[in-house]
Amino acid sequence: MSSAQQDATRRFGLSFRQKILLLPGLAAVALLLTLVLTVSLGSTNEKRLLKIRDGYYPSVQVSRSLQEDLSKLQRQLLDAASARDSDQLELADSLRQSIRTSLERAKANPVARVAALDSIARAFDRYYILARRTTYAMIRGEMGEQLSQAQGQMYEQFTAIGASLDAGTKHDVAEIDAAFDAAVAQQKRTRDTVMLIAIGAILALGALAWYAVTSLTRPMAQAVHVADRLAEGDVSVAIEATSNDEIGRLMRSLGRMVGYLREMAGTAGAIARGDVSATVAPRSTHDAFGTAFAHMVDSLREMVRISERVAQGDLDVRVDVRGTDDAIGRALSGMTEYLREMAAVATQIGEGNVSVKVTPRSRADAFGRSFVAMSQRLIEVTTSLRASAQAISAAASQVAGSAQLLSGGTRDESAAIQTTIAHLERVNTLVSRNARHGEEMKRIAEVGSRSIAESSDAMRETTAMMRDILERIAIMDEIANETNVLSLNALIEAARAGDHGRGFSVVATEVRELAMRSQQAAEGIRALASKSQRVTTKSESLVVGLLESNRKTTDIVQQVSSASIDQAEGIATVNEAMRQVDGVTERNATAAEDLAATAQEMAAQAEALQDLVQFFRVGDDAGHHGDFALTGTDN
Amino acid sequence: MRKIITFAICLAALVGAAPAGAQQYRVIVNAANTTTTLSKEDLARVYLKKMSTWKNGGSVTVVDQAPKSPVRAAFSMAVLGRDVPTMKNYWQQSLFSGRGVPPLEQPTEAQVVAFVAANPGAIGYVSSEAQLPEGVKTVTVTQ
Repeated sequence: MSSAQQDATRRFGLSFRQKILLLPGLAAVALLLTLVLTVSLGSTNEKRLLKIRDGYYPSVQVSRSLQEDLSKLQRQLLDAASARDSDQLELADSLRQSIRTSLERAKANPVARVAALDSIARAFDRYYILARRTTYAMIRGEMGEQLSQAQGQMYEQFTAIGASLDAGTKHDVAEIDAAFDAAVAQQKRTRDTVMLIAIGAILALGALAWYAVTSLTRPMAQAVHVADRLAEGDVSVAIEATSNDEIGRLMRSLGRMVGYLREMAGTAGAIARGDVSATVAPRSTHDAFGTAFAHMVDSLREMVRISERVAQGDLDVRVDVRGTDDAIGRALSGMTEYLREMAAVATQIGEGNVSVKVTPRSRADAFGRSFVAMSQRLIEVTTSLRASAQAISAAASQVAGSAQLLSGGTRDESAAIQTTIAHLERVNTLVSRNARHGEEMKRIAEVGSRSIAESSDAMRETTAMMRDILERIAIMDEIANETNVLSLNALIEAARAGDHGRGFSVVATEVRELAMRSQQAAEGIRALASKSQRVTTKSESLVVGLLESNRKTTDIVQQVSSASIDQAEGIATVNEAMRQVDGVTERNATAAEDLAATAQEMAAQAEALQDLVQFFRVGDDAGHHGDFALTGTDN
Repeated sequence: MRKIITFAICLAALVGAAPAGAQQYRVIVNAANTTTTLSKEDLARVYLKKMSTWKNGGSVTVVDQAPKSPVRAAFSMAVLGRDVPTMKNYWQQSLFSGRGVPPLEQPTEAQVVAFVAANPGAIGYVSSEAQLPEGVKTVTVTQ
């Protein structure tokens, strides 16, 4: 079916019943039409034929009989003339009478042309009178122009009557022929029309039947196809409704059904994917599928809600088990109940009752088994924890004692260091004084140098002597230096020796005193030498040498001075170090005190730990004893 | 049957011999008529009213002698080949069956002549010894 036909079908919108009823309806119309046509045309023909039978045919018969009567009359007249018997003319008269009667009778015919008949009757009368007279004249043997004229008239009149009768007959025959022709034509027309109607009706009926059958079978085939596809579960089948008839409605219903099933399948698919947000609106109050789906979705949503609440840890959620068949409800209920029990177990454990008895519901009950393991482990841990806490407590007490001892020792050490520092400060004072002395000596040496310069001549003279003196001074210096160094070393050693070197430090100081004295002696000698130099001022070389040596002396003094400064610095450093040691020792002491405090704290903590561990009750403990026999809840 | 045929042959021989001797009639027409000769066949056709117009135009009016006249008998036998009663029957039947009108019969030869003289299209016959006035003329009858 083309689209123009589909449009036409849609526009007509015939229902299939109408299509089916159209067939007999059309047939009935055709039959009725044929009947009406046949009857009406038949009655026309009947009228025609009746007119022939009752009109023209008798008219022709009358004409014939009239002609025959006329011939008889003529023969009678001829016989009379031939026989020259005037009596026979009376027979002719009787014949004439019968002809007149026939003519009168003919006028009664429905198709009779009365005027013509009257004219014929008048002509016949005229003719008969003439013919009778002429015949009579002929019988009498008359001749001549008069007779001949009469005969001529007679001939003409007779011919005229015959012609009139012939014309009438011909007219009647023509009418009969025309009527027959009309009847035949009518018959033919009727036949043709009936045939045309029949053919048209057959064609129309055929087309209509084909159309009806096609419009039934085609959508039926489609419907069967759709139904097959639906039976195979294929809800993606496309349905096109092309007509407005019952099949079209069926197709549309199928389409709606497919749409419904598709929606349901989509919802079911969404549910299967876990999406319960789909809303199902039942199509009607009778929509068992939709209602069941809606209930299912509601139920699932409720389950999801419960599961979500359970997932959020809310175990107070209430699960309504709808019946003995509500497996999901029972499962959820069992789950929440199980979780509640587990939570109770956990609460018991949380309350310290680690020896709570948990019996796993099944071999796969990981939670239950974990609880059992946890409980056992907690009992073990608690037991060992108690032992450990006691041990820690004891150890902490010991550590506290040790720390106090340490604190005391450190305090003693600190005192010793303080003493050392005091000693070192004294040494430092001495060394500082030494350095001052060096400085002073240096100034003095410079004064000496000036003196030497003033007494260069004398110095020069006493070069040799001076050289000696200077050598000795050098030796003395050397000794003094060495002594000084030794004294320093001794001081250092004394400092190092601490308490024990205190005595030695005194000795070293004394040695240093000696060294100083030696230097003073050397100074004295140098004064002597300067005296000598005044002797040797004249000798510049000597003075120069003296200056030189004096310079050297100065340098040495300076060196001694700087060494003393160094010494002082070294002592300061030592002092500082000692202070640091003292600080460290102080800190040590503080730390030891802290340690002692910490140890005491630890002991207290260990006590507290022991108390805490006491919180966990193991089986042997007196007090609350939970027993959770988590057996299966199979009903 | 054979006898009839034999009689007919004899009769024919007799009849055929007669005109050879002397013609017992003369055919007359109006003087105005241009016709001069007529074949016997044409003459018979005229008297049987089968030829009703002249060749030069004009209608033919046939005139017979009285039934009992010998000329008519001779003429009837010679031209029409039938005797008078037969011809009378013929014409009566013709008249009463509407086939035709018998020729005009004049009672006397004089009346025949007078009629021919008076009617331009008339044709008649007279005895061979009849006196012919002005107004009529004889037509030669050829075989």
